[in-house]
Order: sequence, then C-alpha cells, then structure tokens
Amino acid sequence: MQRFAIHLLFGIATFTGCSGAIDESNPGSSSVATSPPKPSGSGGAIPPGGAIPPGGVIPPGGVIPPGGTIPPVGTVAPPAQPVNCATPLDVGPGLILRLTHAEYDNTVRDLLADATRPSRAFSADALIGGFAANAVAAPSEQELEQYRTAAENLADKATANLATLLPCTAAEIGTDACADKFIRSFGRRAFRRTLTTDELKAYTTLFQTGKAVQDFGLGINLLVRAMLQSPSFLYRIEVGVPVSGRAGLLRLTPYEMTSRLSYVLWRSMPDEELLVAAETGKLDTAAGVEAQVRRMLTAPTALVRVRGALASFADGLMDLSSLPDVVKDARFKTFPTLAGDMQREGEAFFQEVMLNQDARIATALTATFTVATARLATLYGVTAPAMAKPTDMARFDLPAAERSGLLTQAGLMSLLSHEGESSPVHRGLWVRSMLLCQTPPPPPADVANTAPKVDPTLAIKQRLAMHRASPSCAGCHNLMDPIGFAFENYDPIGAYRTVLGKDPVDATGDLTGTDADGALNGVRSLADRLARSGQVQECMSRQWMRFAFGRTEEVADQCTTAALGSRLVASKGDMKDLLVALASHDAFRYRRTPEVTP
Amino acid sequence: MKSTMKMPTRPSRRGFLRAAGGTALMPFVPFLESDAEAAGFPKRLLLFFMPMGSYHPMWKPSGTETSFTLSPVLAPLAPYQSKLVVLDGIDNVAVSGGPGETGHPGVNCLWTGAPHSAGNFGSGGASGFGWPTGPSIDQAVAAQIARNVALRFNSIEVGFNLGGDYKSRMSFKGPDQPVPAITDPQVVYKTLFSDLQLSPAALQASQTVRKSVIDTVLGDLQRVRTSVPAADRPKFDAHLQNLRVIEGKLSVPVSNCSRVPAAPKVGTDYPNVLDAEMSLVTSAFACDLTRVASIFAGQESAGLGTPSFLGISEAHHPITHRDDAAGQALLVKITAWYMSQLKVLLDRLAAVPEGTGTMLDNTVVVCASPMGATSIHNYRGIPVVLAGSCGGAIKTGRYLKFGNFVTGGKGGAGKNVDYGGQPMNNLLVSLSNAMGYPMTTFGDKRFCTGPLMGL
Repeated sequence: MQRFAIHLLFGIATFTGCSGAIDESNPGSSSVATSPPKPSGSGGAIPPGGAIPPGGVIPPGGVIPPGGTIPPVGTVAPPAQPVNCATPLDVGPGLILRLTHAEYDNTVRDLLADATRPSRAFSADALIGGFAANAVAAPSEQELEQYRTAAENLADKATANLATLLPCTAAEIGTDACADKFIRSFGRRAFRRTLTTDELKAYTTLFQTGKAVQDFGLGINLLVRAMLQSPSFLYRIEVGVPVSGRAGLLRLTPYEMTSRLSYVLWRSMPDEELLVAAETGKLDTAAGVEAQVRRMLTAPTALVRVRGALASFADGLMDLSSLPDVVKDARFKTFPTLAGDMQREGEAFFQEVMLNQDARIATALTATFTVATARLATLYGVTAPAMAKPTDMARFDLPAAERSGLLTQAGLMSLLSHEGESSPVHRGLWVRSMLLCQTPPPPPADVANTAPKVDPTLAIKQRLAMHRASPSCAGCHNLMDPIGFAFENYDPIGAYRTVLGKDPVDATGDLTGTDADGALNGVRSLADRLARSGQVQECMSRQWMRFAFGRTEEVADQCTTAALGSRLVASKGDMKDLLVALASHDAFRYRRTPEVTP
Repeated sequence: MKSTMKMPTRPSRRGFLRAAGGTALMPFVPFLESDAEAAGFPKRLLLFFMPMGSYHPMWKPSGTETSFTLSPVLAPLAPYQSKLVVLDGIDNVAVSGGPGETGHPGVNCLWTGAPHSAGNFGSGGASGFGWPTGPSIDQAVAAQIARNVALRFNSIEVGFNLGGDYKSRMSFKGPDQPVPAITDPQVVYKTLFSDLQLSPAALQASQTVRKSVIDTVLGDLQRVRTSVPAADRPKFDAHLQNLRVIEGKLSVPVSNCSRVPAAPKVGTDYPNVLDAEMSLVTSAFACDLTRVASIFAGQESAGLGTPSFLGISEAHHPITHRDDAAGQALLVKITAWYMSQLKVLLDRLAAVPEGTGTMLDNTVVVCASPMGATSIHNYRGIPVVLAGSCGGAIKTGRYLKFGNFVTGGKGGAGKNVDYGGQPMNNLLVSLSNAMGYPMTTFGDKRFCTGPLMGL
C-alpha cells in the first residue's frame, strides 16, 4: 500500500503560551490575538519568537518546501501567525462522525454480546491522517444495504432468546408494557441517550406493526433492526448547546460527552456507569470527566474496551490493518503465515506499553520486549515461552542490541518495504510524517520527476544516493532516506541482518530538521534521539487528537495542540496522562460547527 | 456463462417475468416502465477501470480509422475488433483544474470530469484536496434511468484491492458522495441475488417489514437533520436521499430470473475475484436488476499488488514508474492481462442473446485508466477502449486518434504537454447521449466542448 504518499498538511504557525480555558463569560475574546509573541517555555519543538531560524527546527505539521531547506518565514500558506493562547480561544470544528468498522463491531459486542464483527462486509472506512474516520461522506446506497443486512442478522440472533434480551420478567414477556420497557432501555444504550417523546412514539408504532404482521417477537426484532440503522446509532450525533455570545461555539451535552469519551477511549459505546455519570451531572466539570477517564482507562471491567481502542490507535499509526494484504517475494515463505501475527503483535505491544508499562512514548520506541506468537519469536531469533496454540501470544524479551520498540517490529518493517527489498525511503518518510508530523512536499507538477535509471548491481544505499543526486528528487529524499538508512539491518519482513549481498550492512544515516538532530548508526541511535525529542511528543499529541476528532489540525487548534504537547513534554511522554488531559480539555468539551463549503 | 433456457424475444424484465412463468412473479405493486425505456432492449453502461495506465507505444493500434491492427496490449481483444472503438489521445484533463496533483488523484476525475475540491484527507491519505466536485457519469446516467424505470438497483459497483482512501474511489453521486465498490464477491452475490431466492410470500413479508423499519429510520433521520446545525446537514440530506432510494427499491418487483448464478466460489486472489465479479455483473444485467455497473479492477496505486500469477515478482506500481525496456515489457504484460480479462467480460456479455444480437450490442463497456505516459504519471493520452455499440448508438470497429500524443517519458517533453487530444469530459457527454440521455456538457465546463468529435 502506498499509504504514506507525499502530501501537504497545514501551514506553519507558532505558539506563545498554553493556557486558555474557554471562558463563556467573556464574549468577543475568541479571536486570535496578534500581540507580539513571547518565547515559549515548553519543549524544544516550538520555535521561539515566532520565526523559524535558518537551519533550525521544522515545526510539527510544517510543510517542508521543495529543495529541502528550512523555509524562510512566510513562504508557506497560511503564513506564520503568532497566537496568544492566554486569552480564551476557539476550538476547531467538530465533525459528526459515523461509526468506523472497529467502532461498529465493538459497539454491537457491548450492546448485544455479538462478537461476529459484522463490519467485515462493509465498504472500507475513510482515512483521516492514517486513522479510520467516516467524517465527510454519507453512506452510499450499497453501504445502507450493508447496514441493513447486518442489522437484520443481529436482530434475528438477539431475538432468538427474548428472555436474555428483554428487561422483563417471564410473565411480562409478550406484553406491550415489556416492549415499552425494552424501547426505553435498549434505546438508551443504542442511542447513548434517552429517547425523545417523538422517538418513543415512532418505535412503539413500529413494534405494533411487527406484532400485527406476526407476533411480539417480530415487534421486538424490528425495534432492534431499526435502532441499528438509525442515525442516532450509526453516528455520534453532537448538537451541543449554544454558548452565549460565542457564535458557532457549542458546549456538548452530558450525553454527547459520554459518547465522545467512550468512542475515543474505548472505540465503543458507553457503559452503564458512564451513562449514569452523565445523568447525574458528574460530567459537568473537568474534574468529574477526569475521574471517569481514569476509571475508563484502568477499571478491570473496561479492559477489553480500552484494548480495542488502543489496537485502533496502533493500527492507524502503523497501518497494521494493511498487513494481511501485503505481498512479499516467494523467498519469504513464512510471511503469509506471519502477517496476521505481526498485526496482532503491533496491537498487543502497544496495549502492553499503555496498560502494563509506563505508557511513555520513549518506552514504545525503545522497549526490548514484545508481545507476540512463538512463530514471530523465531523470526526475531529468540525462543518464546511455551504456549498452547500457535496463535497464542506472550510477552518475551528480544535481543537488546537488535530491537527497539515498535520501530523495529516485523509488521512495520514489512509494511515499509518493497516485496523483495527494504525501502529506506518509506521508512524515513514514516518517521518524518507519523512521528515528527512533518510533511515533505509533493513533487513539482510539471517535472518528469520519477527516479533516474540506476545500476541494479549497487547496494540500496548507493542506488538511493544516485536518486538524491537528481536535483528534482534530492530536496525530498534528503529528508527521508538518511533516516531510513538507519533501518537497513531489517530485511523486507523485519528479520535482523548484518550482511546485505556481499557487504556488511551500512546502517549509518542522519536525522536533520528536528530538535534531536544528529548522526545515526542503527535504529537504536535513532530511537534514542526520537525518545528525547519534544517534537515527537508534540507530534504524538497531534496523532491522538486526529484519532479523537477524526480530522487533522486546523489553525483554531493551535492552542490545544500546544497545550497537549506541553503536557506530554512535562509528563515525559506519558500517553495515558495525555488521554486524561485531552478528554478533560476544552477542545473535548466544546465543538464548533464546521464551515459550510460553498 | 451458459444460457440454460431459451431467452424471451423481448427480454425486458417483464419478459423475464413471463419467461420464468407466472405466479411466482410480480408479487406486488404495479410495474411502471417508461415507454422510452421499454422500447427495444435496455441499454447498459459498464465502466471497467484499469489502474495506472499502460505503455502507450505498445498500447496504440496502427493503421487507419477503419483498417487498423491492434497492438500487443490490445491483442487479446482481437475477436471483438469489429465491436470496439479504440480512442487514442483522450486527456484526463479535469485533474488539472483543482488542487489534486496530476497522477494518481486522476482516478477521481476520470469518470467525473470534475476537479478535486479543496479539502484535506490528512497525512497518509493524500495532499490538500477533497473529493471531486461533481458526480461520475455512471451515477449521473443511473439517476436518469431511475427517473424512467424502476430497477432493483440504480447501479452496482464492484472491484478488488481497494481501501477507503481517495485512490479507492472512482464513482461519485455528487460532491462529497463517493460510492465505494464492493470487493467481496460473496457480498456482491448476496446484494444482487438474495432477494431473488426467496419465495414470493417470504419476499413480500420481508419487504413489508423492511418498509416499516425504513419509515422509522427516515423519521429519525429527519429529526436528526433538523436538530443539527445547518453546516452538518448536507451529510444527512445525502443519507436521507440514499435511504429513500432504498425504500423505493422495496416496491420494485423482483423476478426469479433464470440467470441467477450460483454463489461464487471462495477465492481471494485478484484474478478469481475479478472473474467472479464480471460474472455477477453480467448476470445482474441479464436479469435487468440494473443497467449501470462499474468494475474497479485494483486500487489506483496498489493495482494488482505483485502479480505473481503472471510470473512477475515486482509490484505493479513500481513497474509503472519504470522507463527501461524491461520495465515497459512488464507493464505491457500486465495491461495485456487486463485486456484478456476485458475480453472475458465481453465473452460473457456476448453469450446472452438479445433479439438478433447479444447483450454486448446493447451495452457500452468503457475501459479506461487515468494516465497516459505512465512512467511520469501524467494525464494526457490515456488509454480508452469502448466495446459494444450501446444499441447502435456508437459506430464500432474503429480506431480514433486525436492529436498526436507520444509518451515523453522521463527527460522527455514536459509531463502534461498538450498534444492536441480531446478531453475525457467529451467522451462522458457522448456516453450519456449513447445511453439515450442527451446532454451537451458534463463535469467542469472548462474542459468540455461537447460530445466527442467523430464518435
């Protein structure tokens, strides 16, 4: 897959401070201030003084111009604009998101105890910043039929055992009163809120239709079917409450907060405790939200849900769900068997770091253990603990000199390789775009810009050196290839190698344009630099925002990204702490209506 | 595909109903078929997308308009030469009219003739552009047909090796309304044919309760639409519209067409998936479940992955970037394989008799790709082949050459130099005209001068 395409992101903006809770009592204070910037006190990633020094740091989200040099200020659009985050600020637009495949499957798992993953028959999710997010397009006719088929199957299974499904005594089953109870209780869980009077009426009518056509059971069946096709189930509807004097700004209702929390932290529906928290006013304060967030991340009953969300994050960051579609040369005989294991390893490792380790970015980048199958252990050259089945996974240590967290996982290395050889370009581009949030520019429009002819007998590094000798290629490739060279010890399926062809592997490279620049020799040296980079921490806070909001950042998000980036820096990269901060941040509790596109 | 029974002389759906014999059919709802659509045999539009272009010197035929020799790439189509129109010098120029880069993003413009909107798919997705600004020709024609005749499906979209990214969408109902293709033949099969396998009573019961459910959901949608801020409404408007289409389909009589195929065999390799999908589309046409279909034969960039089934161990995409003779030979091999598959599709369409001819004669199959000089990922001189005369509307057995496109290749003339070709938009206009829905312009008007000259 060519997921990491060359592309543009947002323009460069600079930051001056990081507070800025929304002050609803202060109308008119929402505009972006243009007062002279103050130096930033937090993190190496944010250039002080609103200017990017020549030879200095490319900010996350910044576009690197063709030519590969650091841009003079004002050469990219929108121009650098200092923002004073000390005054109350806007939040970015809130999109009404339709459930992703993972969210649909997790939701029916928690709503109906159905683990069949019906979304496997759905058309693919749209992608935003690498993460699945159905933010823009309405479902097509075929997608609506897919939803209908899934709803019909789920309803048939659920109503096969009415006693389990219904909140009624045996004597009540069959009565209209029981149906009414079910509409209210199931509706509240399916819609993540209580039903309105109009809805109660409509669903009662539907129940009566089913009952008249056939029997009580069909009435219940139709209720389940319809609710699973309702927009209130399929979307996370956010209407909000207008904020006085702040045009376009909306405060989420407690129920809407509930859904945001559960779909960000769990990628699934709220549990009973969360719904009750909304109904009893416990989500009205940042402290109340924080308490719920901590429970949601740590309660044993929530574990399966948290793990689902973390798997989705790892999938988006590393593109793991593409692994089953990856094809390798025939000489990599084990790959077809291992591809699925690699996806599960990427997810399980990330879950382990977040839930059982210190949740720090540095740990994710430098750990010398993994969680994987015995078959993968063989690829890593170690023996795994005894496990019952080949698909079972366990935590085990890896050769410390050869491995470095998710960076050297077989799955990521396989994804960022060609069929028969490694790809320093893709590996470097992944680090640049996904860990540093920097974006090499697209090739110039009217230039014949594909790679020049190369001598296939040369080592990859020499061949790529020839690519970079071409002026139209060098600009971008100088930003990608020298990082990618540090990965040369990993073959196209992620096995460690010290010899390539006849020559010893040359894993020397360079990290440039960051706050952790320096010479590289192997991935461990790269990981050490990335692990202490404020820029990586700022970027990871952006990745979590993209994951949470289903969109990339906009100018209005500057203070949120700056605040969350600072929080990550202050916590030394603790992503669990970041989630607490994100979920209790204003950006999470308010939404702004999106611009109407002409 | 073999015919198991004699086809009716007038193979409208009504004909099928009769042929299949009486009581099992037309369970409810009067059958409305417009006079325009009822006259003669239905016309069908079938788009066949080949990702990432071919190698033009080995793709273009030689000779004159009516006396020409097919090229190495097109050679598999030789049995159908009299039913082809090879179009050389078509420009997928609409991609140049918006923020999308020329190259792969052209997949979104090919059938829409519309440039990309501003937008941002974010890192890993694409650069700063959104979905194209208008509908694709298949959806536009399908919407016209739906005004005149009630078919079970307005259109059917199938394909393989597709994801959710912009390179995996070529069909659009309008701005921000991509229509994804189904990539699992089993799902295609169930979508198209499961209703046809129910007894009339069971089907009627099923449709009745489905209608009640949809009515409830429509009510929910209207309430939600009203409750959200205006800026959030377009998405719900489109959802409402699509759901109303589905609701309308519940009233469409379903015949137990004699050409309902067996469930496709399970096989996930691309040749098998494509083969199964081509069969299913043919059956859907033969049963008149729909008259518009598209086959998205590989994502615009991932393509065939590594086509080891062709004995090729290099991936399709890097091969398209190569400018050396060996690389060009591989691309010729890959694209000739695509043409061999197109030939299989034509075989199947031609195996369904209609009047004195076959279903192929009443269809226009359009095979196209978004790039012409593939190694530099341009948009000029894209390969286009039409097959079938669309009920006599298109004069076939011809090679039409517009301008003098030559592959510049790397280091050649600029990537998108104008060689005097014709815009794809003009062909899209002609396709709608051929289908019986006259229009004078389609897509971005800057890139459309009317129907394709000489077609």
